[in-house]
Amino acid sequence: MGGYGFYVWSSYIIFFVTISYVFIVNLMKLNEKKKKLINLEKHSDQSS
Amino acid sequence: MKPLYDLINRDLKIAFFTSSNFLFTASFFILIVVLIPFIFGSDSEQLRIIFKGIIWISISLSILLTLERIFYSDYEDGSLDLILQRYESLEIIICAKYIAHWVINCLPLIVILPFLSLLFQLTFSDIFPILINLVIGSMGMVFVATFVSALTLGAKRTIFLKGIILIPLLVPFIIFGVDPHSWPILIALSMMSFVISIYASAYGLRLYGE
Amino acid sequence: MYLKLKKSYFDVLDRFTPFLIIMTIVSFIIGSYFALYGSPPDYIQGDSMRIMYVHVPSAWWALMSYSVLAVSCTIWFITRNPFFNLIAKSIAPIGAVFTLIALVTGSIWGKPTWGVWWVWDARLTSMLLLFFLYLAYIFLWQAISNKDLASKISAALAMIGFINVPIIKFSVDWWNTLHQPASISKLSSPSIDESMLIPLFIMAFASLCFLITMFSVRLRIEFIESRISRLRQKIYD
Repeated sequence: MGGYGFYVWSSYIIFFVTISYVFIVNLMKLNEKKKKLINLEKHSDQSS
Repeated sequence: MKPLYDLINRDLKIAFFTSSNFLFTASFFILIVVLIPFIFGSDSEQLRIIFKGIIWISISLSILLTLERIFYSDYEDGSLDLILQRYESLEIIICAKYIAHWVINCLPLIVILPFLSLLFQLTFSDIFPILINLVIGSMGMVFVATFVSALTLGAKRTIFLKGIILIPLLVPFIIFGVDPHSWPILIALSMMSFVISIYASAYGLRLYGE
Repeated sequence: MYLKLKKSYFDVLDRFTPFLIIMTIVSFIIGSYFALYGSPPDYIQGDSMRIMYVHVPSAWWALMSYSVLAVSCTIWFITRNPFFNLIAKSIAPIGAVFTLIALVTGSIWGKPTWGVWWVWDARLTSMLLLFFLYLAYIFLWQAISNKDLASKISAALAMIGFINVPIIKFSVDWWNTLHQPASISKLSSPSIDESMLIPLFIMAFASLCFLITMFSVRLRIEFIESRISRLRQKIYD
């Protein structure tokens, strides 16, 4: 990388780590919300 | 004109009799200015340049610190509801707030500035362009602060949030304010923020009036 | 917040997500190969300009996300359809992340190019202010507990912020010409060689795919949240 390896690699690593972090956090949140919704739907069916 | 006068009179009276705001803002400014030589040393050439910048820092800080007083203190003690009921026109209430707030928080700084500049060996002709910019710029800043205050009336954790909202909106005023030749742009900016501010503050007040 | 949206709408989003994820990963792999090995180094900046392939797309999509946010808030003002507010709410964090990436990679790129980590250059400074506009929008949603009120306030703020973006850009440019020597804008090369455009466009496409993926995921989170709150109301009533 012609002496610039540290800068190039660190910026790519920061980019991909941030992106995958955001991706994983949001997918986890989505699954959690889905479970919550299913539970609530069961609950509302029972009560009605 | 009567309601406008009444509302301004009310705010000025509150400021004068309860917490003596005039003295507060002026002494706040003096205290910040007094800190400058302690931080940067007593080299008068350097101090002169820094002093011109500190004016803008202290005016934006004092606007940020007194942001809660524009609508929030009235909102908290319930007098905002009474004002909204009593006066039909929101625009009058907002304009009264502009004038009262500017007189309480910006006018003391502007009045005291020529005297303080003597401490830094600045003559009146040096300070005059800054003074003009400060008058125009602080009006624009008050317009911005008013609508930020009106829009964030119901928010928790207010002062940090309001700071984050307010400071980026004040940046253009500071940039053009520091340059002594750019007062026409500053006038244009202030007029534009006046128009936006009237609509935005009325929108904010209407939401809380509901 | 009441939404008149059928459940089938977000089932469609559900079906598309795996496809989007695969497209994102594949295009990132191809793009990174071209960006890191498949393209020649710049003859002035050497290999350090490879940072451009992650920096420039992030900056593009950060600005685009803010435009989407502001436009959907404006449409919300006209139509009062809560769907547009959800669009704005779900795109804001993604835009903030892209802005942050653009700032950090810009700073890393600055070190070999300018010799310092940060320069008060017009573009970096206005990106920093854009980041604060995003933060203000996101924090406002969190700070107001009444979601209906929060949507109204934050929409107004987003529109004002959008008016403010060109003013900030103009004023920061003005300030920059006053205070900075001209040599600092070394980065603005007028023409980019074609061999650099290919990896740039692939990386931009990959980042856009990522943005759309995240956007659809966040939109579904918002849908589900509004359904949950409606169901809760139903149960407790």
